[in-house]
Amino acid sequence: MTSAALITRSTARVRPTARRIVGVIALVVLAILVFYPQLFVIADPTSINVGQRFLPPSFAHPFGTDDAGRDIFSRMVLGARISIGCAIIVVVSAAAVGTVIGAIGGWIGGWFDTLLSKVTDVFLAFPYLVLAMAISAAVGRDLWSAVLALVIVWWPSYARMVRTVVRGQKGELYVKAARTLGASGSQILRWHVIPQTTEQLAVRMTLDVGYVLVSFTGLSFLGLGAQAPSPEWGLMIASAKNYVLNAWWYPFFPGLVILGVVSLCVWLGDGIGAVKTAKKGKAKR
Amino acid sequence: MIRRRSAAVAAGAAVTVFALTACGQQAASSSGSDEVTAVFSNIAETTTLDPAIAFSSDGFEFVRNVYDSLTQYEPGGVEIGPGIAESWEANDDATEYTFTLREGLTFHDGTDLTADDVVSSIERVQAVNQGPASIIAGISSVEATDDTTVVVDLSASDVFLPGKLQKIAIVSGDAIEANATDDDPWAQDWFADNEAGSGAYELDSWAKGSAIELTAFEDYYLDWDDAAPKKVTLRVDADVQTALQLMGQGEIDMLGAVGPDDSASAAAMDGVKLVEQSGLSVQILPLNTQKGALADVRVREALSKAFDYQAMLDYYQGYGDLAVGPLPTGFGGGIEDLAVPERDVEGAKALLAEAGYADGLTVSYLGLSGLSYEEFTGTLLEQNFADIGVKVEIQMVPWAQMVEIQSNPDTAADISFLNMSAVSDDPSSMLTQGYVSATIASNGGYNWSYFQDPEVDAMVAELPTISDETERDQAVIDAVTAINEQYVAIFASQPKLAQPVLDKWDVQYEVMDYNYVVRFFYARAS
Amino acid sequence: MTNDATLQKSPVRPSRRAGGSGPGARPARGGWLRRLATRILWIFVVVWAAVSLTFVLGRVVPADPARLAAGLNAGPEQVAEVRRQLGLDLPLWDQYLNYLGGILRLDLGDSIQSRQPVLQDILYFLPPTLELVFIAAFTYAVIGVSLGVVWALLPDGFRSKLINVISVIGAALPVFWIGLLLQLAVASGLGWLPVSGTLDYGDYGLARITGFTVLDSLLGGNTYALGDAIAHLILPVTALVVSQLGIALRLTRTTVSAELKKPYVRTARARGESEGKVVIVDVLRNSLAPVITMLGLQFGWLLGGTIIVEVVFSWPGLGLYAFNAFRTFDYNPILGITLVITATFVIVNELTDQIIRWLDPRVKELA
Repeated sequence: MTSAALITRSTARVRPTARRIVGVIALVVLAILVFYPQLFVIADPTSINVGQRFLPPSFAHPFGTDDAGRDIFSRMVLGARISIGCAIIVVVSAAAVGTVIGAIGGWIGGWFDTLLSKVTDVFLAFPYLVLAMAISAAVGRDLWSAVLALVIVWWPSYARMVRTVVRGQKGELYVKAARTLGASGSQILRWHVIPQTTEQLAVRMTLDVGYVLVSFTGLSFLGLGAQAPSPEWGLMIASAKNYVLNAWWYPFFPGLVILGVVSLCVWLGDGIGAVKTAKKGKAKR
Repeated sequence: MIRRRSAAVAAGAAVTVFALTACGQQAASSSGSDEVTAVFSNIAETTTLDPAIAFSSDGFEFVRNVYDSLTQYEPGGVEIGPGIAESWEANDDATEYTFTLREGLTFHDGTDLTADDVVSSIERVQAVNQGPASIIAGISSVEATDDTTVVVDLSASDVFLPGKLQKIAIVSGDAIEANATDDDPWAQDWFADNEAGSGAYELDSWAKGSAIELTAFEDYYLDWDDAAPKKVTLRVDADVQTALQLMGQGEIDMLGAVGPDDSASAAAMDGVKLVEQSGLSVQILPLNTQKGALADVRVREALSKAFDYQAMLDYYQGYGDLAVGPLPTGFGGGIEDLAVPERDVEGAKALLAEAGYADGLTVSYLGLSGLSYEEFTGTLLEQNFADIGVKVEIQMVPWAQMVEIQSNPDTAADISFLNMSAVSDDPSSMLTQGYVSATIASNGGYNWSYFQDPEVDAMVAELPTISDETERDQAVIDAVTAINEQYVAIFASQPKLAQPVLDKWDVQYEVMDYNYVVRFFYARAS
Repeated sequence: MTNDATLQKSPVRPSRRAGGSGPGARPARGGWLRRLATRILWIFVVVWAAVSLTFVLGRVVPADPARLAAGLNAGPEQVAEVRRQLGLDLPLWDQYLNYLGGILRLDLGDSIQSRQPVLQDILYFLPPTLELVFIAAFTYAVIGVSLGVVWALLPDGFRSKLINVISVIGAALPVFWIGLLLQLAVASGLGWLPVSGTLDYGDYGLARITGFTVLDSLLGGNTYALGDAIAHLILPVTALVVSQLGIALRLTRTTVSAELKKPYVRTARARGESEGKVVIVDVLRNSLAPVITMLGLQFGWLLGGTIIVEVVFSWPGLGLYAFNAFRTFDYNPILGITLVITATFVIVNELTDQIIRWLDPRVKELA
């Protein structure tokens, strides 16, 4: 598949094993961050203390403190659940919706497939970020309207990807074999065809968590996503914007962490792709 | 003044990088005369130039410099004095006023400003019925008895009328006539982006979204000072920090709409000073008296006692004072002697227990998103109320949505945030704005407490009719005390007015025009 | 050609030809006229869908535009009157038809905030945005493609790794963050470039002819304003470009690498043709189609990114206008902006398709 080819070329030199180890460690850390943030919190992130406002980064406050004297690091730890959590929710929902629509269309074919493809095409032709902003603004500017808006603009690419794979598999021998053995269409689709898409899906979803995170924090930055006093990262940068002259660290660290997490997703996505291509290459040989 | 050129020189350098032909020196001389100019930056752009509609600080910034009014406050002050009316008289019960205009006034287009223009200006405001209209709702008729005499009749006594007429801009009656259409008898379309005033400045151009340019009106009835700016730019910088950075580079001379929390960071900048004045504002947290636990005055008192007033002042780093109630101490007349609130956690707990909420309760707080101090207030409430077992649900929304939520009794939050500012020297109108039945939020007013008390209504309504000053001051105190006793709001603080300007400016901000307006005619550069 | 817009969302995507099924994929049977008609119809369908989606989702919310339009001092009767005037008392379906009908008459309604017709506002604020976006797109294309080609040609090693790191970071930078940092460091800290806006105010007496400041300064022969206009453009353009650079880098590199491995390259090399000629004439020409498609799709991202960048740099364009409309629940501008930006994006993509047809004869044969 071209997608795999696209990925490997840039990264084939990195040994998949090294990347895998780093990847697993990073994922474990992120998972703990999202599920057990208490473990990382070094100061009560909601406790305000005006006397401690705008303290620069130090051992006690690695990322400094904000305008209300709260520890920025601890707030960011709590915010991970919201920012990364929402990004994952968006990607999983978009992938689920896209997979169902793509698989059904690709499997059934005919006018139904044409209709679904056309709808997908229309969605793919939107300037997605602008539409997400407009939808989020129109629906009501909270966390969930931003999530909804991003799912609406994100599912079609999954639908197209899955549809292509399903159509390709439809004529394969094993599908015919399963048919002959009396398996129903939905069973074949579910147990035999869709699993064929998992590798591509894994690559796409890993990368997309990163890209959705950037978009989601961007929406929050514009006031269209999470609302204060949530410690969502994009929103933190938006608040920090009011104090850039007093406290450079206030916007700096949240942005740096977003950059780090997204880079990680891109890097891992490349890695999964590389592993997959390596496997395929061996199999062919 | 010659604008600093550091950024422009950098621009020239950048151009050479792009290998284009540009010479930084050439154009610099074109504006390099001795003429004083001023660049003023506000947080938002006015949506209309129409003085019968504009009623926000950004609108006032334009109207106050381009239009005159019968009366005006002394620059930066609260004392009302003559404007284009050189004198006025009221009858004994303050129901009829006679204004005498100055001689030889002209509009920017050269036509004479006469009593007829004053009449049509007031009639236009009443007909358009927006913005300043509510302030002069008491005027029943207005009449020009000769070219320089205007008689204003009121439906009820009002000793504060002169202070209110400062809000009524005098527009050219000819311009109304010339630009009116059948659909638009008061020429609202035209006035939305044109002017027909007689003020110290004329409208030069309006580049929507970025700047309004004003130039001095040479035939103004007062004499121009050499140090007053002859060209003024009103620009928009939605972000205060950006504006401060620009000020640091010398691009902006004066800033408006800087909140108390930003004043400190502005003060720390080189070449920038703060203009400090005592404001006439109070930040209040209206407590919704119409539903839930807060309908019980004991709960409201408990919440008021649980609030940490000192923390709020600390947050403002000295740019705020304790508030004594709905009126700012700047009104004087004994208000400044009222007791300031104090935090009393034990007292608050006892009151809650008495009201039957010993086990605690949950209240909602609605703030304006994007305003750091309203967000801080939410967090502060959360922390303070935790001490008395009260949970706070915080919701931050944009202004439009905030108004919508509050104006519906079913959705109105328990606690919200409002900046209450005096717009005239009339304490009763400030009380009317937020504490009487007529202005409850569902009627479209700022009484977000939904506080309805016929006794208070009567007390407030009576104030403008009391002509004896000592008697009136006592009546004001009585009304304020009656409101305080009902704990209709937490009076969080009284922010100080501290706006940043470049060092060379000697300038005052207009306390009566929402604090952020400058009348450039009175500004002096050194 | 297909309309594979998925590239806009992630740099690593299946080729645009994979599974393409948009109307664009279907070879036009009739003449060019028929093809043109199909394309225009397609543009209308996409724009209609975007506007309808925003309209329906926007009207589902229990918010009351009439309450907002009437102003804070309005009583219940005034609000009801405004509701009637705005047509908000009609059934949703009628409102929808009215809105669509309005679009056909070039009437996008009035803005509650500015009290002006939305179309007038948009036309006023569009030029500065297009100026920003077109210059950013051009810079993006030049830097992204040339660096991507260099990357593909580089042997594995330190330099290649360095570009790889740039490509990962360049795909992950949040545009609002890099914008803030640039503003803080380069403009405010070092004082090298202006902090915000399109021009210093009030100095040049620059007449607004087109609304594009650079163009206006050129037309007015005002070199000083030109320098200033360009100085104001540098930071916002940089923020827009670097926050997506990785995507152009990666796709260009992948395409060119794939092309380099093809037999004809080997043949050409074996024939002793110069490496420069092989790369420039054959490889680049054959890589053009996917790269240009990608650039067209990235334009959609730039249109979104510009909203954020305009907020950071107080750029008085459509983005700032959109931001204010978002903040104030101003429905008509939100819909109008959706319409205009979607239309701009679809048209730009149709144009890139045409450019590819024109450049790449193979695509023409397909059609």
